[in-house]
Amino acid sequence: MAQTNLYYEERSPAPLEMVWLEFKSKPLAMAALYMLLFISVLTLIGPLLTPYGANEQFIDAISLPPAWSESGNIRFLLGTDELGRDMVTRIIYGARYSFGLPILVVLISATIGIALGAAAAMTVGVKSSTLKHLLDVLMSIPSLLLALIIVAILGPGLNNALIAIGLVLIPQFLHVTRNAVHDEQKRAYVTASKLNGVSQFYLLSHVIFPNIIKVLVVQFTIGLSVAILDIAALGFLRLGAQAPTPEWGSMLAQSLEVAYVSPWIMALPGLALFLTLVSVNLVGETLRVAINRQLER
Amino acid sequence: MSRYLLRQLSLLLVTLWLLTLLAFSLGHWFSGDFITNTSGIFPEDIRFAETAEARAAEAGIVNQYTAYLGHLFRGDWGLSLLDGEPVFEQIALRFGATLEIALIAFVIAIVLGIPLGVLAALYFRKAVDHTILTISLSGYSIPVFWFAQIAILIIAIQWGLVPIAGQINPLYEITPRSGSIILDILLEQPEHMTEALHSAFLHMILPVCILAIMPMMLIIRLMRNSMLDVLSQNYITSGYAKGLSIARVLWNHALPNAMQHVMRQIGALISLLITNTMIIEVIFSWPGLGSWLVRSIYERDYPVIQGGLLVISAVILLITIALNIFHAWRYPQVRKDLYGAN
Amino acid sequence: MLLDIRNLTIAKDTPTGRVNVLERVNLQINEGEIHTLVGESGSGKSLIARAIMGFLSDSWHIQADRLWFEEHDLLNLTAKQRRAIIGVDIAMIFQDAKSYLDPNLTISEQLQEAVLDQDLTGGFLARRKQRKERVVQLLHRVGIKEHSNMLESYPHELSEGAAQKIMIASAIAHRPKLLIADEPTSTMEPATRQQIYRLLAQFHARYGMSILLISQDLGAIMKETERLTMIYSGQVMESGNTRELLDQPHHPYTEALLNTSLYRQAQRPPRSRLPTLAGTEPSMQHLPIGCRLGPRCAYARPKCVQTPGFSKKRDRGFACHYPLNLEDDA
Repeated sequence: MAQTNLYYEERSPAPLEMVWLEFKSKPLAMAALYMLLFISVLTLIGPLLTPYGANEQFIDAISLPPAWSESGNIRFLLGTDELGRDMVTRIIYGARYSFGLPILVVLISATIGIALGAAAAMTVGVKSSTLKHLLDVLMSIPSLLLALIIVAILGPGLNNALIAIGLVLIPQFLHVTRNAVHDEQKRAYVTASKLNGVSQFYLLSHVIFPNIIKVLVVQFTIGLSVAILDIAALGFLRLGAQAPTPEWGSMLAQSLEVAYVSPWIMALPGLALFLTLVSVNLVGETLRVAINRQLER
Repeated sequence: MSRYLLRQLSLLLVTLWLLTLLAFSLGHWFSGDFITNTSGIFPEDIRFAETAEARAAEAGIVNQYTAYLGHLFRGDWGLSLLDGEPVFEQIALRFGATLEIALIAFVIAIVLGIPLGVLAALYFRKAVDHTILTISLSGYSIPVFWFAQIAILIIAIQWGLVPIAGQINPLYEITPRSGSIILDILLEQPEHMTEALHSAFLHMILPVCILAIMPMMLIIRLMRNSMLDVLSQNYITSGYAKGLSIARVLWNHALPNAMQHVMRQIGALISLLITNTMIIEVIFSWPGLGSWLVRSIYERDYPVIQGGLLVISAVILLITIALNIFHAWRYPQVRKDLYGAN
Repeated sequence: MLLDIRNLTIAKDTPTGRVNVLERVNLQINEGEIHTLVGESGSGKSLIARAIMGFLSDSWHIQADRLWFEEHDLLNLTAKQRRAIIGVDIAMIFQDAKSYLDPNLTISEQLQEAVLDQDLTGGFLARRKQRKERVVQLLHRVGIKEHSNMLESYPHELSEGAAQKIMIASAIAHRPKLLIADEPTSTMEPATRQQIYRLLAQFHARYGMSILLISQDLGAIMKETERLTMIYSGQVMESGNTRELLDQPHHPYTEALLNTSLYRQAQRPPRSRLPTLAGTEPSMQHLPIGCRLGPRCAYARPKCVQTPGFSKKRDRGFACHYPLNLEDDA
């Protein structure tokens, strides 16, 4: 019996491939990923799909239940609210406020925070552990409380809520980046690159950064989850998006008076928010598990 | 250890000082007059000139800050712009109410969350694990304000099992002393004490349960991951090599070590709990710090905002530092790492 | 016969099918014998130890004609019966001893666990006192004189050698009949290694305890070793009396390992080519058919794709179709 495959090559999947394999092995994570894609599409082209305007009122169809119930109307698939506005349209428009805007805010905060964090880590003066401990302790103050205070200074409103969340997220990215860069700097491969005589900027962008990107991606999903929840919470507390805006949190707040008579007006925005959050958290968790598994190898 | 203690205490002092600095600056950053913002006395008031003098309105920012600190330590935190109540006394009352539900929810979360997390870890990748993990991940993602509304709609309104909001049926005239309703009833000793306690219990059950759910989900996940990590450690193997039973290995070695990781994360848990407490208090009209702070923000009641921020943040900082110290005291090898870092 | 292992096969399911990580391994240990198992890392030698101790999870499939310790069939034990043997009659110490100590308990607390209740008498307090006395005795036995300091120490404060001594103290608490030492010194300095080996040899001499030493380096084994078993990629290559086996290896693998020793290399003429094993150890997903050394063996011939049987010659045993150094005997 001859050995046909004498030269066996061991092949382990590339990092990105491994993340993909992890996703594929979990049906729930896959579903979350598709859900996230779906919401993103709605956010981008949603208004093109909706039959009505977000604040278009139908006097003849006030507080209609969803279409499948007896008194429902097929024109309004998920019913209308107490002012006769189509729920489907408002939910789809809401994706822009409750999912699209948080993504933008987190992207901006992440950019600023990562840049500042990297700069802080590369500067020798800020390496002291005292500052790290100080930030650690200050970081324990919940983000919503800080956002509330900023809103208190700036005044209620969607723009101010966004600014507040953005400001609150910056230190978190800064902290994570700084710690990650700091940890990597102690590794042998960084020393090796230094001995090769690379510049500080090259060291950061080509040596350290590829190795901390995983941590940052996970932090991004955490930040996104926080931003979505906090913006909706501010909307719910009537400190964020104001009345006619179809933001899911403020829609929820407005629905309170009619919740008993027409519960779908309350249930739908909450459900949309819940599905979005579950998807973001599941994707984040799967990413985290996949990355940890890579580190173990 | 004493060196670590000293470090942590100085850290606490510095952060608290930063906090007072922030609260003081808020007085300037808010629109309106600085003196009104911090003392709650309007310029039309006859006491205004006197207050402005006491708070060093004309004497430069450093003197203003010293005067502010002085008032802070004397417990003169100004008056509410809305109803003229002294902020400090209000805080003392409302703090009890907040602590009551937050503490009970925390205990429920720990008592239920830890065994469930351990269970999931022991049945790693089996049906039990998958069920617990799926529930905890989705439970963690439910927006608490929505969940609370649904619970009210179904349990309180549809089924009528519990009241919708408040601390107790107003028929029982309980004078607030500590803020905590159960403690107040016990202190007051009213005629129908059992009925009053029953009413208070019914009012409390829904907010506390909803409040407990999210931290519980978090604990389940933390505990499961940390337990899985610990179970793969070598000292677990050596426990079996000594001929110990599975129960003893779990109890003596796995649990204490797994708890260590969970302890590290418990700050995140507290932060989550406090955020949710604020929202839950608004929804259930619970007379605590959170609902008071939120109301003061849209009423622009600046002295209250300052006071509320100061107290809530200070409590969080205290808990964080206390946890740090406990952690270093209970887990000796942590201290070594800490010293090593210096 | 203290430990009798016949045709032990341990398999694991991989995505590409079931793989025999350990294939038909034979191992016999007599009372009061020091037996050394030599093999490269990943050759499955720790797996044997874990199978004896019963540490393998359900994902491993164990099969054996015999896996006996004295009169006990180690494959069919209830958890309770196993606990009566493991930690009492069979004890084990490990590589990287520090990680085998619970970081949150003092040395005293961990050693007290090793003292079984059945050896103690009296009420709760009396037993507690006895347990503490035992722990101090144990520390003295492994040569730690300053016990008071050691008792309150935490594992992170110990050196690697001291941690291993604690592990030994815990292992010998019940004077086990068999001590399995899984590469106990591979992370240590040579001087510390000799200390540990001397300690093990002492207990061997004093209690007549058998030792199964697992090592990956033929150059770093106990000099008291009476028998050697060479294992390669899950198959036993050769076993026998230490002296004879080292002087006249029958198996090409043993020969190749011996050639890497400094002593043999120093004896070679200058500028001559050093004989080494070609290639690398096969991965578990891709094991060669037949003798697993085949593709790397300098003496391999087509017949080697059939697994060689385990031939016995006096108290020597080897698994090779073309053994070396047999001419003298014939």
